[in-house]
Amino acid sequence: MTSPDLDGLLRATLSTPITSAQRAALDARIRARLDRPGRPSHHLRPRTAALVLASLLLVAPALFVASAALRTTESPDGMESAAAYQAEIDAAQRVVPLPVGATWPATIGATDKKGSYATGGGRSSVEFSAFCAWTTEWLAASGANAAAAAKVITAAPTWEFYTGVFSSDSLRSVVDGVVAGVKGGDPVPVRSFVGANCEG
Amino acid sequence: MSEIEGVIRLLGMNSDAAAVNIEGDAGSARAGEAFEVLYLAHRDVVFRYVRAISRDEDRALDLTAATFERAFTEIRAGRQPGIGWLLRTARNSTIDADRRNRTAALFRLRSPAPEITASSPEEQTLEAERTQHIRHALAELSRPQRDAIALRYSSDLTVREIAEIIGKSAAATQKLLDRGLLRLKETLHDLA
Repeated sequence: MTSPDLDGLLRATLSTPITSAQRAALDARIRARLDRPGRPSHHLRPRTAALVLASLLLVAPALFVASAALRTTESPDGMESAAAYQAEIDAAQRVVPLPVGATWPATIGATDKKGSYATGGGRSSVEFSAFCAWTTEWLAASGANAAAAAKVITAAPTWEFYTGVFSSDSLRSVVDGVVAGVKGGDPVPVRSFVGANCEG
Repeated sequence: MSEIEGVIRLLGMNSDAAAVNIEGDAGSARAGEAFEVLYLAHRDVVFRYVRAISRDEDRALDLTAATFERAFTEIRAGRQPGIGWLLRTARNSTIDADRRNRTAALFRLRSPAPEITASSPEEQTLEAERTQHIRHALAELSRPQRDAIALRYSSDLTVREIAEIIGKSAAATQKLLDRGLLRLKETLHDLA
């Protein structure tokens, strides 16, 4: 390949214009982020600022003690060892529900024993696997079992994998679609989610 | 226009206002209006850059949105972020996300296939494969090389402009571009 070939190829691929669908998706995500309730304001009134400062002075010693305790189990940048990550997964699997007869996928776990893992990621992974298991169950079950699955699925937006730092706008949007499908008795978005994310 | 009105106007917008003069407007307009101008002018460039350094298009949308959310915060604080700030922030956000979300890949959603413009099904398949091939080859480069090449070809920046964004000298940036392109040439030789 000559340089002009490579030049043209890279230019054609990397400068492909944004599509109308991508533009609409981006606009929607910006809107969702800016409309999010509780976005912090950077302009505090003097009285508010004084109150915040007073509160900080009061809680600072407690924060110091708490952070010292945290430093014993995780690194300052939020990473943890494989053992701690595995412990997090084990603990989550004890409390996150699964349908009767379902088992945890073998892919969850600290596969690299010498690696560092993001703190909280284990819990989110376990929850996402459970969400897969319950959506699969809802598609297959009927009667009381389907109702039980629906109850768990509709509670998913309160779970850590949906609300926490490992979530994303796209994930929340897809989960919302699945929850709406379950609530409305429409299997199409549920089947689409399971097919794309839970099989294999 | 109030800050909220400016944001609300985002609801109806979908235009290509790429030639808007940000510097002229940002100083005097309220935050919402200044943000809207900034967003309309640079949305496409920032997205193309983030898409070039991410394998996952869906993630590129998230990171672009996060970059503009930070820009909004900057504007509200009285500052005037420009295209350099946006690209630097997008780059840092991508690095942070890579570092933080190592385990998030376990439940990253699969995104739909990218839109392609070729006419016949065979051409569409070939184009999609070629795009994938190039993105994979880019992902194999070192991060500085990938950043430099992505900024060069997605945003058409000069060496000096790229250097400013990635925090290196112009000479070092030129070297990154040369080496990165050489490596890509070796990897992609069968695509000629």
